[in-house]
Amino acid sequence: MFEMNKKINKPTFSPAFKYIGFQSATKLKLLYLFKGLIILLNISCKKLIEIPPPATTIETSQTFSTQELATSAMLGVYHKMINADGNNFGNGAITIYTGVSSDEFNFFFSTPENDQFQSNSLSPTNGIIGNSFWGNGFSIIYAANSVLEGLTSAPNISESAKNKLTGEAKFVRAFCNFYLCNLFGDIPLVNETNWRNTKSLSRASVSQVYQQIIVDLNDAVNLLPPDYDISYGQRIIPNKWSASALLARVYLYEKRWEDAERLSGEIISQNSLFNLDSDLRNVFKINSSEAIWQLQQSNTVYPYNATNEGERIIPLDANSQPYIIITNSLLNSFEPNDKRKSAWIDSTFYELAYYFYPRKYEVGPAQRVPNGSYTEYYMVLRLAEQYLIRAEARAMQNKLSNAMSDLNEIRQRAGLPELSASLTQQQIIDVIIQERKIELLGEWSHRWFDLKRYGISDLILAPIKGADWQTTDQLYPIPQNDRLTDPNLSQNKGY
Amino acid sequence: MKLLIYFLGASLFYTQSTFAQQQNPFNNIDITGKVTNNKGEALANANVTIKGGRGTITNAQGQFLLRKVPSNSILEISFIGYTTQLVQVKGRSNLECVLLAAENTLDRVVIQGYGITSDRLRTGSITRVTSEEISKQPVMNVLQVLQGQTPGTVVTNASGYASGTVKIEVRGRNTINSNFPSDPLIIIDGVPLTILDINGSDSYAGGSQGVIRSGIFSPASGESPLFGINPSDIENIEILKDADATAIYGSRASNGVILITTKRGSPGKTNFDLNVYQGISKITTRYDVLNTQQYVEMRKEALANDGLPLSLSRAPDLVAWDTTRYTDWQKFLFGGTGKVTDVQGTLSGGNPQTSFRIGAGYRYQRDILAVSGGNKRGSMSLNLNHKSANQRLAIAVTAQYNSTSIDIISNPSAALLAPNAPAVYDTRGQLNYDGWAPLSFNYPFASLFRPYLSKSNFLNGSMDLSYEITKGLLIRSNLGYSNIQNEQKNLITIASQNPQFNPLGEAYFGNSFVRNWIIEPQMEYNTFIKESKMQLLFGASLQSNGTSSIFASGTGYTNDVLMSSTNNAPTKFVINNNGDYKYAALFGRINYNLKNKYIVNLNVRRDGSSRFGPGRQYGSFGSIGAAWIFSEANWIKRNLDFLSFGKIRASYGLTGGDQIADYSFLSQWTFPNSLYNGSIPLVATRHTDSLLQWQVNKKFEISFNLGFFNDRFNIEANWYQNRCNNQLVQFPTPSLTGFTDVVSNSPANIQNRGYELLFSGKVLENRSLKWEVKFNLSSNRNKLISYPNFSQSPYVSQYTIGKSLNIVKVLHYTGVSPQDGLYQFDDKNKDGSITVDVSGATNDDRYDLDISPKFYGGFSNTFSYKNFDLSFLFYFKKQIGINAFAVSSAGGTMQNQPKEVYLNHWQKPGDIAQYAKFTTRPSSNNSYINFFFFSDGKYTDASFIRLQNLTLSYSTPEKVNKKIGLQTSKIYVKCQNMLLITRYKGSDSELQVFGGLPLAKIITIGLNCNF
Repeated sequence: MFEMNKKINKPTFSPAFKYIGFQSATKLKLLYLFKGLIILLNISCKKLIEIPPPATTIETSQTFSTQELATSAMLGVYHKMINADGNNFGNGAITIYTGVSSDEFNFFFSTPENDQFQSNSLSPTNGIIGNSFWGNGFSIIYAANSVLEGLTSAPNISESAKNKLTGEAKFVRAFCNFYLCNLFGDIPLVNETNWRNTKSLSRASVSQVYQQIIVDLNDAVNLLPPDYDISYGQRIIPNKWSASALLARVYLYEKRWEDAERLSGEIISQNSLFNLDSDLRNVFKINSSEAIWQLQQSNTVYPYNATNEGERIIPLDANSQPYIIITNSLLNSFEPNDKRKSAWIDSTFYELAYYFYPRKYEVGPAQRVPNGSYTEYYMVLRLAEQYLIRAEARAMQNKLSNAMSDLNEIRQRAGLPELSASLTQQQIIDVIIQERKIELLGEWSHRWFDLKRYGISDLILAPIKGADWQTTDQLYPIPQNDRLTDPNLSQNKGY
Repeated sequence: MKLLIYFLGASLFYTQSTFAQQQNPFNNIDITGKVTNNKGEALANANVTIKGGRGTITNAQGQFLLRKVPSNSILEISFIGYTTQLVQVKGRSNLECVLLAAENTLDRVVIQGYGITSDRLRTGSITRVTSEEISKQPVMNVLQVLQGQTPGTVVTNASGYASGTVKIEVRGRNTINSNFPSDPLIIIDGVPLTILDINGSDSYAGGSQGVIRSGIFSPASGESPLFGINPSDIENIEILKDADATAIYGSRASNGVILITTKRGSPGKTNFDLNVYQGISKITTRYDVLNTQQYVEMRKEALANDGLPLSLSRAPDLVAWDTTRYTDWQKFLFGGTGKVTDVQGTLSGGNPQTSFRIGAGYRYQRDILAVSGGNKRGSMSLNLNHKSANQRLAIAVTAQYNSTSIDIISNPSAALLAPNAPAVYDTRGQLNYDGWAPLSFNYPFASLFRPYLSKSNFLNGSMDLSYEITKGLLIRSNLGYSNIQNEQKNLITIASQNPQFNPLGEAYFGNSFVRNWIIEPQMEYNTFIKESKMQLLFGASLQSNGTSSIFASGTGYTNDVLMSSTNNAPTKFVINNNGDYKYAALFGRINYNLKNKYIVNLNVRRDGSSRFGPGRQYGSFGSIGAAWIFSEANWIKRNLDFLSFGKIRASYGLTGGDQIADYSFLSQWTFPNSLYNGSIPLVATRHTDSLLQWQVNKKFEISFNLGFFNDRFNIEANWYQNRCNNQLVQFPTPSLTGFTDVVSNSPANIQNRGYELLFSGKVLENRSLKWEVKFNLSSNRNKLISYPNFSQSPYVSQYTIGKSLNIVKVLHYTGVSPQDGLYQFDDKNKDGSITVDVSGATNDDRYDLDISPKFYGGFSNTFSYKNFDLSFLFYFKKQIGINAFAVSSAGGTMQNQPKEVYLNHWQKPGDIAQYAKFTTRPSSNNSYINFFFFSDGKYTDASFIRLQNLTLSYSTPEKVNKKIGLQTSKIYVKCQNMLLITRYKGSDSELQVFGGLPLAKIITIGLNCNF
């Protein structure tokens, strides 16, 4: 072991000869070993830390590599709307909570968060506002934007397929923007997915948002097919008429009466596709002839073949506790013999009292079955609204008899007498407000938006809500969490 | 790297040449010799120096040759972990030298990264916890032992469950946001305990979820991987803190490193050791809350204050429920007595060539929850060491295999239930949903009938191979493998659900698998160059980890007996998660030691990690540390003879972090479990940042060590400053962007600066009475130094530049208004109203309140008197915490309140009260009551001194042992968490849980025999 020291070379001080010290066999080995190790590591370094691609996910470029996958990405947008966990933007939250904020419903039992809707004293920290409305709404916009962006670099997808998907994505984006802007007022206009660009957006004015909505919807009207072939006749993928229907509503809200009348008229004239079903009980069924766009819930995930609304609103049986109850003012505003009262409202006898709740959907917690076959889908856009839009647009242009004929279509189905021909414009508008209140009861925030749109929120709600009501309550607060992470977001007045 | 080779080559060469230049005085002799320990094992690489001069090292057989030694000189023979020996040559040319294991704590072995050192010689900051300290504490998870014993390390239990995760934070909070755990790198016998966060469940506050990766809910919010490790198998735990100690682990060392070394066999007579103990555990402190009468009064008063009627919908608890009923919910929940049984047996022995240790253990521990199964652990460990006949080849194998089984339920969060709430069970023994009407939906005891089972197996095996090529030159390789398997089952039985809704059963099954292998070839060269000792280490590290999990659920069961399998479920659902992680590194260390007086230590490491995108995978890290042992200076030796040891050391270096989820740099789309229009939808799952890169932490430390009176008293004082400014975070993005965060590098520059003081001393050292004291104190100050464009960052509302990250922004509470009974606050901005602008954009009325602990530490005493040993350990922490009177919502809601609130609340104008008037609607408009929870009134002093551990043991006298055929035997009482000294009023000032499972006290009695 000690022979090492015997084989010492004469010392030399030139750096060039430093390695001479390694001449013994052992030391040469050592040197080679070191060199070898380094070369080996340099060559294989890349290999050493190469891992297989993730097993459970794919990348954006893969998602838009085939038409089939790109279509799936668009289906993912609808999935986010209807199957998002719990009560969310696209599956019932808008209906239920704005119904409670307005004069349609009350919660039977209030949690503190629900109570804030009922007493119109929303806190910016309210989780439903933050997650179900704002967060979920913008996450659907993100999904639509990611489809739009993915399609811009998708060489393997045909132009016609791209057009269809682009139309669908723009339609959904416009739909979400419409609701967000009516719920919150000015909102950030998010047209891309890159978080570096969107993370500090400030709020765009309502008119800017409407401009964008109109551009998107016009594109969608032009790009989408006029039939439901893509969904095998079911009305669960939006088409040209879905886009037109929403655009007609947008024009109505924008007081562009002629455009609203034209578009709703185009839809109403599609007799081969759309008809008012004389049986009110069929209106919300799958493939209802009135449906312009429905969302298809997944029967494999809770609440299965029930809609989220049905699952929540319908009590377990005729003696069970209700979830929301229809307000007396709404109950009392039905005209006598209105068939809608018996078709779309039901009651439960609970703890010695009757409570009324909306029952547009019939499959509830007691009826739903995992993997069960569908009897109803979640209705988003339907023909009756188009009649009411046209009636209003016509009335506003003083085309009174035309307006009344549209209203009579709706009233006739409800078993109500025709309107008297002598009604004045103002009277007709009052009828429209009333008909919208009844026909569109418990649907997609129509009542809440109408009160605001007609400027009658204070008039109607102040007497009902008492001191809790303030004019500023018409808009929901911008969620606190987003104001924390985006310092450029301002808060609505009154919060 | 070239540089390193050059340096290595140069030094080898230099070694040769210096020997050649030696003079040859005529009375010089060549000395050969052998260095062994008292067990006959040859000590390789021991230092043999001519006192104060040149030296050499021993080879694998312990032999040395020192040429041309003046025949009258003194040889100094030293080896880490042994007492240095001085031998007078006296003309002898052959010396046999037996070194004895060091008594002095300064000279005991301290494990460092890829090697050993001692407190005397280390240039880095390393804290050690020994098996002796571990064995005093009858805890199930070894990490709990660290509390109070490890300065600079905050150890917090995430829950009161024995299997729960334990959060460890070394030297303060490095991360600006809360989504990544701060856990240090844990290495068990050279095998990193890497578990990938494949389901995104880890967080800063909760720490790592441990072995559970399936995404299934777990009552203890995770399962600590160390829960499987038997504390009795552990020899040492070393915590590496500063750059010098951690930089050899490069990119993964930013949060510190914990090295766990298991026990080894040693030569000697075959020895069987049996240790058995049994004990009980009980709740420590309880929360003093209202009885039914007081509760009803409170509720009625609140309704009256709000002008609300006593109606079914406003106060179902008073109208529908019996208002005379009383239940002590805390007693119901935590009133049980926990049990502990622990049995350990080990067999060890061998000869200098081959030694072994075989250990087996079993432990059963039941938590104090009234309804609970328990925790079981069985463990086996094996260690085998062998050296070839020529001693040049050495092999050591260690393996632990542990199996745990956990049967717990989720603790119903019901400590603050209305005291008149109806019974938990109905007359048939079923859950009393009916009796709870109309609040059946609030019934909190469903979990009682929802069993949760978790079984884990943990194998950790490693092999060390080393071969001495030539004297001082060693090649070596660690090979390690670990494997964790976990299976979970959680049943949402039909019996646990409200029968009114015709419920169906749901069963959840989770499986997690973790596989780790690591290969670390190394080469080490030790040599003397004249008077200085050089140690060169060069190595590579290759690690691969695969973590995967399967989550399966069955729903729609119509009968609870079918729920043991998804096969019986009408609807099944399966998802799996998968993660792969690879890691490669080259590292090197040069340690230069001049006469044990000046020591310089240089670490370099280049790392590649699969967690970053192409082109960003590699990073370089390194450190330099230096120590000056000034007590070796002659003038100190002459003038300050009481000062036996004095050292100043300092270190600076870069370490890194890649603690983010795998594939973070890739966009990811996934298929959810549903169909739309007959096809599978695809959804994007998150934002991505393709520019992700290494986090780099800069660490600086300076330290003084002093030893007095032959090192009987030792003091160590450390001061450190760590900075991190491109940390990897889950950067919060507003939800309007589509997702609420993105994994990215944050530009926040965060500083942790603090000190640690350690004192240890042998106060008394008589033949019969010994008294040893240990004390440690740490303090850390956290500070957000800078953040570019802070006002536009998502943190502007949360943090303040120049302040700690642990601040909360709160109003300053000034008392209850005597007029209206509402809380009052300081109008800081003098605008006439109390405003809270959470966006941080305007100057509102809030102040910054730093809630990080001010200081913490431990104090232990060990007495031994004849055959008795008594030791106790206090753990203390100076901190503010959440006021026990402000945890629940304001008084008046359907929730019980502390008596303190009830007795001191406002009732009528003119009352000077501490708590606001009762209300049922604390969140309604125009009320400042809820503002209280955003004020400093919510916080209070939560400092405590806890008697963490108390151990009393009696060793039977040798005479008795001989009679009964034992080598040693001991009976003992060990107690955990026996006493809490605090001004805090609440259940537990450490956890500050109000309704969750509190920490229990454990009392055990046991017997230890050695045959």
